[in-house]
Amino acid sequence: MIKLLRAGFFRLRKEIIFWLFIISSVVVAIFSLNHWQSSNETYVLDKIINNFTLYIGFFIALFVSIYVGKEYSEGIIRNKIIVGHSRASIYISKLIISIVVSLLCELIYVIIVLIVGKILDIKTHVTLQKMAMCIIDSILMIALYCSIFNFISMIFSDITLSTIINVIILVVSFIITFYLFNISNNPKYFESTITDADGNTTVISQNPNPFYPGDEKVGFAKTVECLIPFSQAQIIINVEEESLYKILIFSVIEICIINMGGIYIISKKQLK
Amino acid sequence: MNYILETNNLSKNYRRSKVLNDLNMHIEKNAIYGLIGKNGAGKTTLIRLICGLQKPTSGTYSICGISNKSKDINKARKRIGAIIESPSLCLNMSAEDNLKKQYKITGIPNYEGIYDILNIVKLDNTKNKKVKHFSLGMKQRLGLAIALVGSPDFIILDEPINGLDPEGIIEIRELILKLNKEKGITFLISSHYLDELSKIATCYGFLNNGKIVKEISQKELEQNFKKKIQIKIDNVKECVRYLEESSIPYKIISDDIIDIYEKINVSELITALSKRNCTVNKFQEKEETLENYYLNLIGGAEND
Repeated sequence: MIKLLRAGFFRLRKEIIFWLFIISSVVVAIFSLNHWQSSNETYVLDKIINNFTLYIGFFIALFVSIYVGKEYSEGIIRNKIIVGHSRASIYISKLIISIVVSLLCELIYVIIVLIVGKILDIKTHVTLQKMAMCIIDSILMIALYCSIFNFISMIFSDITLSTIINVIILVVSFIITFYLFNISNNPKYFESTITDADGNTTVISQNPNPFYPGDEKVGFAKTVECLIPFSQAQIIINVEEESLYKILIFSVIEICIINMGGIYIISKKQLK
Repeated sequence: MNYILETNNLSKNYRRSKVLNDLNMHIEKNAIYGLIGKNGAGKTTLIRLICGLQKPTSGTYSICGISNKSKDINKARKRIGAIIESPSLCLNMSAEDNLKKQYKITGIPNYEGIYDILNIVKLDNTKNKKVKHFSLGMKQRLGLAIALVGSPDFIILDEPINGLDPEGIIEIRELILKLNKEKGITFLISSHYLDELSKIATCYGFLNNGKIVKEISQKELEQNFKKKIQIKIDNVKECVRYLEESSIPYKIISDDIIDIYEKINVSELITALSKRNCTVNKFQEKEETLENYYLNLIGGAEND
């Protein structure tokens, strides 16, 4: 495994897609800072930091599809098997490299945001504990993305096909996320409130929302949100405390299932 | 016998089609084994099985005495190198970087010997030139260089001279012979270029319909080669009548050409034929080629 990782990281230095991924994280950091600066909000550092989780899926999809796809098309995977490496170790090494690269890009983004945020005096209301939870969830979300895209790329072994499938997965997860949040963000009641001169708000009436889908449906939507990495990103940005813990558990389970399935399928696959 | 590769009733099915059918094959150490068979005979499938890219449906094979059923088969694979269809190369790297990567894959701790390998395959002067700018021959030589990393005992080459120009073919041929003689590396080479294969192989395996129809050494093959006399005549009917009467084996090649497969007294034949109003216009002694041997063998196997 260590041999494969060494060879993989050695190859990375020459990979254009790797450098494009790094550059993209810098560009997105600058773009995010610029966007939030124009909004004139002070307490948004957490939002800016977590903002990359929304975009990173796209970059991971492209990176993993191209990186793994090229290994197939150039016969590198075949070569690794011929010299006696197991398929499972090849699969896991690809996954580890994808996760490390993605985390590196996330780290570059966060460092840029923190440094510039400090200079621009951008603050946050979010507690350190919640922020730590968001970071752990972000790491798991990245690992989940890598697991999904690595699974697809290793199974389909065709650079074009796996890129298309991975991008489709992203688009579909975006649509599902949009649909789920439409359900879960539906308020049960419409409240009429009065705010006095001191800024205190009092609820004066509560009317049921006729379009409220029901507690069961909302609960189901909230659970599914925690399963889909794109929805997870939205939850992390919104720092939804209750769902942050669910993401942690669900992601670990999903990562295990996907990778065990992937290793099983790849060990049975007829390679050319 | 000490075989570097041995297969026992190896079979491979793809859905309903049987690509390899109880195949038995034996490659001795230090041999250059020419695997010959038409398209679809199962050559590449056999190589894929040996290299661990696919699993056999039934039967076994052993590399350096280690069975594919053994847990140590991956250790045995460390002793082989292979080029299957096309060499495994990172196109955006130089030849040296490709070798460095292979060193890391095989777990060799330092880069000692890289320049020796590049020198053997005559790529030591390519410097930082990326592989994507290499000619097909250079890529094939680099593929061989990569297969050489880790000092393998056995190298498998699937169609190594496909698409190469005459110069490239000669380079690869000389390289294989050099590695076989100097480093004692055993080769398994599948190729359609029988004439080229006959220049290097020390033994052959003829593959047809998923089976090894015949395994034969170069020496045995030379002894088996039938010498023939080809005559051009103006009266085939009379000539055939004479050959039949004299019980001489023959084969009609065209309207005016007959091959005779027996040592005959030439002047006797010409005199006998002229008495039957048949004139011999041309007379040529020919030795059978590997190609003819293969065609006769496969033709015979198919008729069986």
